[in-house]
Amino acid sequence: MSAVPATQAPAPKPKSYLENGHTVASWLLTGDHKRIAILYLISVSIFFLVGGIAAGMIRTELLLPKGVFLENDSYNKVFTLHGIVMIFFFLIPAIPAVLGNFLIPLMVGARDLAFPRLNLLSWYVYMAAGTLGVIVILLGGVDTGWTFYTPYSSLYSNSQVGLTIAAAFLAGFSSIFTGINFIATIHKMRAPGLTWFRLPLFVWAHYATSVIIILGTPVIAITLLLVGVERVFRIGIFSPELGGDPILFQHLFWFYSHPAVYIMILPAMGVISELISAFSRRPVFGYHFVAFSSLAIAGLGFLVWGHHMFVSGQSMYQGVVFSLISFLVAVPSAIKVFNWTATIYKGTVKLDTPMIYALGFIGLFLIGGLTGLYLSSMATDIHLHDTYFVVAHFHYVMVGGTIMGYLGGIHFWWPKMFGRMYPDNWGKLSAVIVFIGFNLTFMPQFVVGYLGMPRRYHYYYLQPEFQPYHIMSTLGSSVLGVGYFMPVLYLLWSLKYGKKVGDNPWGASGLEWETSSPPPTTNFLEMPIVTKEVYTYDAEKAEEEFEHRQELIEEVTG
Amino acid sequence: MSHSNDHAANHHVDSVGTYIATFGALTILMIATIAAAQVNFGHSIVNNIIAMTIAILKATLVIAIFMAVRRSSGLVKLYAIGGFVWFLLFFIMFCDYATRSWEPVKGWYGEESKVVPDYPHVTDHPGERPEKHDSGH
Amino acid sequence: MAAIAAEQAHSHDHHGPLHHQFEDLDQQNEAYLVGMWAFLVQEVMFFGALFLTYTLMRWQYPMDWYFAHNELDWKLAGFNTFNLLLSSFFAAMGVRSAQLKDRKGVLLWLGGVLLCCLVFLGIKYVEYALKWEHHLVPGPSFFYQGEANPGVAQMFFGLYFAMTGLHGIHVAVGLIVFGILWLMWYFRKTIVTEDYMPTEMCGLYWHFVDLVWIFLYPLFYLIPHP
Repeated sequence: MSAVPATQAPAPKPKSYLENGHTVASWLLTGDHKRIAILYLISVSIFFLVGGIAAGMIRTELLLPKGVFLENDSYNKVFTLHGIVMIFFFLIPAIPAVLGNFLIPLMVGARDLAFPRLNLLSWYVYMAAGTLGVIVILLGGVDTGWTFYTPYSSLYSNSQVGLTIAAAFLAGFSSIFTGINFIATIHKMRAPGLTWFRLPLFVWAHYATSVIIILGTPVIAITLLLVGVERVFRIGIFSPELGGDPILFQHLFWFYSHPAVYIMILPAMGVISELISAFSRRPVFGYHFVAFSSLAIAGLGFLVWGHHMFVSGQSMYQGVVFSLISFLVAVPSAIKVFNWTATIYKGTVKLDTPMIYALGFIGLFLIGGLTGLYLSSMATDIHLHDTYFVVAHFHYVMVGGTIMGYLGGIHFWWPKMFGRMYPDNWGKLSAVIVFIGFNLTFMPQFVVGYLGMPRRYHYYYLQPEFQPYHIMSTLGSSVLGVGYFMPVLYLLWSLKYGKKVGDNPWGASGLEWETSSPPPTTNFLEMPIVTKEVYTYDAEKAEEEFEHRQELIEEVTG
Repeated sequence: MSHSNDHAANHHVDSVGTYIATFGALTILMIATIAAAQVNFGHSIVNNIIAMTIAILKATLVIAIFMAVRRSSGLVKLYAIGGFVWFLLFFIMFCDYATRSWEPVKGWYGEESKVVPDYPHVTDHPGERPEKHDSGH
Repeated sequence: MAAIAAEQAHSHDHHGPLHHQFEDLDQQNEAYLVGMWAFLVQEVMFFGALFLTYTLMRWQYPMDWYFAHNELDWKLAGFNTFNLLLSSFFAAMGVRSAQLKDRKGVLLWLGGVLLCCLVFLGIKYVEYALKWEHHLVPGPSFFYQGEANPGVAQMFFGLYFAMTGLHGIHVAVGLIVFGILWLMWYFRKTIVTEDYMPTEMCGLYWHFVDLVWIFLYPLFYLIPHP
């Protein structure tokens, strides 16, 4: 199983990337993808906290039919803040910039990403965007909703739209830089013997994500730029009062923002493929199908944006086409879910913390995905559009999917990142609490949305019968909050007091487990040569391949 | 650095003549664009098609020769083509605008109504903030 | 074989054009090329959305756009088109010289690119200054007295400034990029002299800037009477 061929006596344990320099500058000016990943980990966690506080405020406000403590205007600002921070500053960078950054070079057997300085720049651009976001909050916030719909955002809103647009613009470029880096790395820096079909599905998912990022993000960047220009110069591109076309804005906006949903969920799917395989001790069932389903999702994802616009005045014929293609996206998504389930079947399942998150992901994503079909049918969408049903649907996908995947991945690769293990019982407890809290929060929202509670409203005193659902939801959100806060505590605790574990505590098969934990700055002391297929969990086979590798190495060294 | 020497030798270097010929072709095409724009071909669509065809020709020359895509790996070719995914967005969006006024059944939208509005309320004073309840028009 | 040789090359060479994360120069150059093309794809999408907006607006207001475009000077811009084509030719020749490791040639051709950059920006400045004098810059001072609807004319000029301005920013970035590249060649930095790829990448960027203008020119300056 070990990667580095045992040629001579065991070398002394190499200096890990964490020990390579302790000054602030050695972190802030680093080119090391692992350190940049840690920087991202810290920053996205902070933004997750900010977005989470906003979510808490929204839920508290909705406890009473006439609101609790927010004015109309401040409620608008709070839900906008929640949306913008969670989407642009947490969900989009979370898995690619933290786990992807850390793991892709390790998984492909490279010393670093292709462009380390671009990678660092992407973090700085992200932080600049984040700083702008904080300035926006300090200056009073923005009230357009994260969608920036025109003409409200371009002509009427009196809040900090301009700065927010600048922040989103910059955040977009930060993810473009990451995407370019991943594409070049995955194409050109794979270790000898590591063919495309020996790549972990995590890498496949990130490749698909990167393609979406470079094709989609520039469109939102330019669209937001035009909104800003219209706001300042009143040139009338998106505002009907000035001769423009608001539907054009929606087309351009959703051309990015629907694929952005896949930017958020595809990396999580990659994580889940790794977790399911590692904790079932089986290769992923139908590897090729799962790999290509990522690309299929990326491709189809660009053809469905109109399902956000069924009721906004686009051509109904096009609505039909968009509806049909949206149904098609369910196919590759279902391929993944079925194949994960088939992987678990007859596997030797070990219910460690990451696996509990992964199982949670499958259940929640299933519900999130299937309710998406309700929304992509035009007839039901007319009833459900802009209700809490939509809110519940995308939280099931985004929170139940992406954040479960993110937390599962963090728990899985934590010993790789820091060489220490967290207390597993606490991990399991937090995973279960997150699962329960999540369902308690968002399941009632399906019902209340179906009954007619519109999203973005904070008064519902004409329908006081909605209140029990909101109370359930708020209760659930506090449980969820506890579930999210626990990992922060025990993971931080484990940094110092966690048990030191070996290089591969889970006995997982990926290339990233074959170097030491935490890895040295150059990842591998010797160039790894890959001779085995991906996800090999057969002991005998592993032994054979080890010998085969020895032969190969002898051949290479002559 | 024996590596880089080997490497530079591997790479194909185009002749000066190729570049000069390309530049000449580009200049001629540019003059053709300007000349075609001075002529009235009866309908502006003809002019537009000519202008865009010439632009696409020029772009092809630049991409294939100056950017050396014709000699590049399949991967580079794939990405060079990938840039034109943009036409997909273009096509789908214009399908929307083109089909918005179609009637499912004759008379569906009534006698006079149009789905795509003419935007008659474009303000005459663009510097000003538009009035919300402007009944003057 | 290659892996081991590269490992050795890697272990003792940190000063040449090869960065530590790559095995050899071929791998590095291929990665650079893929990265650059990925970047260009995103640039195409970036400008693509603007071209789309342009098409929709011109399609909705064909007459007004025709009248508004009469305010633009197609002759000046035509010269600029030629200027950019010439610079693209210079850039291609510069890359060729870099492939042949002909430093003097590179300095000469890249100097030509820089000169064209400056001329382009100078002409652009003259164009913009004229628009400013004629109160054709969108905003509170916008004042248009022509046959087009003033609101649509403002939209036209808004898009005109957005698209040519964004292109102009790219030209200005090109000026900086080529300036740095020229200096690196002048001071014989091995990162460019030992490896033609950095020069090639700058060239690719510059050809892209040229490409955008190839479409901008007929679309803004040569609108036919509908």
